[in-house]
This record gives sequence, structure tokens and C-alpha cells, in this order.
Amino acid sequence: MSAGAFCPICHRLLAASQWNLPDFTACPNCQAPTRTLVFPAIARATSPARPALRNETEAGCFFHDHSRAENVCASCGRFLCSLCTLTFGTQKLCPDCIYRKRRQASEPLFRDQTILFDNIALLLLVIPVLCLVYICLGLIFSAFALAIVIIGWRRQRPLVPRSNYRFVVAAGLSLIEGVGWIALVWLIVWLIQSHPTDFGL
Amino acid sequence: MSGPAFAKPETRQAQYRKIAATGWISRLLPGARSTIYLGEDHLLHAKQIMLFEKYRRFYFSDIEAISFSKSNRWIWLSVVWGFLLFCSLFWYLGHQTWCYVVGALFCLVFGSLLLSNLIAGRTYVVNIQTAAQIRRLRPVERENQLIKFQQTVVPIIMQAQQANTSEAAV
Repeated sequence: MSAGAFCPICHRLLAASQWNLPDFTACPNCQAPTRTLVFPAIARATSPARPALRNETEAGCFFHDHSRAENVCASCGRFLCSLCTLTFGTQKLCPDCIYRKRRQASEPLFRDQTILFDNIALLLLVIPVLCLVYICLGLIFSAFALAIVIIGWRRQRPLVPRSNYRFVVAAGLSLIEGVGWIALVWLIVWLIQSHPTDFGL
Repeated sequence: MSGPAFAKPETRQAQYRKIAATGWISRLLPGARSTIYLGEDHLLHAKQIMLFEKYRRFYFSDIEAISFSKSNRWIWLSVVWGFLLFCSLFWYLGHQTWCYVVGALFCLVFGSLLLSNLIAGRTYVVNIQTAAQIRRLRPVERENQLIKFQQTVVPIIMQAQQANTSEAAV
């Protein structure tokens, strides 16, 4: 069984008498009005029992030969004892498969983060303007942002629905900033060439 | 070659339905924006940290408790927006047209923030607990959102865990 439910404010254990009450009750520690909805899963054993030893007629665990196999990995089919069986959602997997799937990130269920290329491109376009670096390196930043838009358009794979409008905005902004930077440089050069005395030349 | 193991990544994309999200002000603050999605057998908490989006899954069969405490954050927010609204009125001491326009704009901004804060209702601190983790659910910390969240999620959790219990009994 799990330790119990905790107060969201002080993170101390709440008394079982406070579970599933219709109204708020004061936390015994911080006195904050708290309500807790507790579900049957709290009564489940959290630590697996010690794996049983196998006899000669029984299959053994792939990782612990002396332990009796109790499950089969849903991914690779290895026999697993109770210690090596990891329940991941509805599947029972071995530690190797979980490690491999998380590294590969091929299945959505095993991905725990994603890179937001559209946000990177937008930041590359906004930060130089705010930091006044745009005057010197504007073309480089906008070219870099455009490259990230092109790469990220195909590579960005968020788990949840995400619109592509940020990519469109970033592509448009990078073109505007790039053309703007070229126009700015051309204007400065033209001004210097047409009025060299004003610039001390 | 048509088995699930050979399916294209697009076809294996999990289906999620958004059920709650933090307010639009959180879009301006890095790391403050988070959203809760309802999946087939789990809740997905997506937290956006500028260049990344981090995901936490809470399987319905594993959720042990949802705890929530009343917090005073909404009162403090109302005080802040109310004070800024009051300060905006000083623009009207300028006795010039552009001062009136700027004052009206500030009043509109802070007045609507105050109003939306009051309409959204009181605030809570909400935690979801499984055997492995306890996480704060910021998207459902307003009263209306919390009620809707409970109405959506609690029956699904109960159903999932009752199904598990009956399977174990068989």
C-alpha cells in the first residue's frame, strides 16, 4: 500500500479520515482547507514481491536464471520474473526494451519530450532585434532561422496537436528580416558614398 | 508488412483531446505554460519550457489521489490588477486628449484583467498522485476548470480502476 495522500500546500501526509469527504477540511499541519479524492489504486502494493525461485521444470527469468518466469515482455518476448517486469501503461516490458524505446523515441508512448523547432526559429528572429545584434548579424540570424524552419517542418513531432502557423510566421519574419538587413546595409553604403564628407571621409 | 510494428510513425500517433490549459498570460512566461490532454488510457501533462515540451503521463489505473487546497492567489491578483487600474486613472489628471486616450487604454487592459480574474473564480493548488510521482496541475487551478476536470476525469479513473479490480478478482 502507498504511504497515503499528501497536502498540496505543505506536502505532509493527510489522515485517512480526510479522504473522500464532500467538503474541505483543514490540513493537520498547515491548516489549509484541503480536499482529497482517493482512488482504489492507493491500496495496491507498490513494491514487487521477492521473485519466487524456479524448479527444474519451470522457465527461468532471462535476467535472473534462478527466478521463476512470471511474465513475457510485450516487446521482445523475453521471460521475466516479478522483479524484472515493468508495467508501462497497459504493457509489461523488460528494462532493456524500455531503455531502448525511450532512446529511439519511435513510439509516442515512450517519448517524454520534444524539441519545438518553431519556437527556436522565432527566438532566433526576435532576440537579435531586442538585443540590437540585428544590425551586425541580422542576415546570419535570419538565414539560420529559415534553415531551422525548413528542417523543423518535417522533424518536429509533438505528441499533442500543434498548429504550423508558427513556422509560417517564422519563415515570413526571417525573409522580412533578411531583406530588411540587406536594404539597411545598402542604404548605409549609399549614404556613405553619396555624402562622404558627412561621415568624415 | 501491414502489421502494427511496420506502421508509419504518423499512423501510430497517439490521439489526445485537450481538456485544460493555463491562461494566455502564461504564454509570455517561459516554463509557465502547461496543458492537460486526455488520452485513451492516461492523462498527459504537457509543459512547455521555451524550446522544449516535456510530457508526463498519468495512467488512469495508477492514479492514487487528486488533492486540492484553497489558495489566496486570486485575491492577491485582484489586488494587483485593481491597484494598477487605480493607477491608470491618474492619466486623466493630464487634461489632454492623448492622456485620456492612454488612460482609457490602460484602464481597459487592467480592468479586463481584473474582470477576467474575478470571472475565472477562486484559485486552488491541485496535485495528482501516483505511486511514482506527485505533480502539480496548474491548468486546473481555477474553480471552473477544476470542477470540469473532476467531472471529466474522476468517472474515467473510477471505471479504469474498478475494471482492474474485477480483472484481478477473476
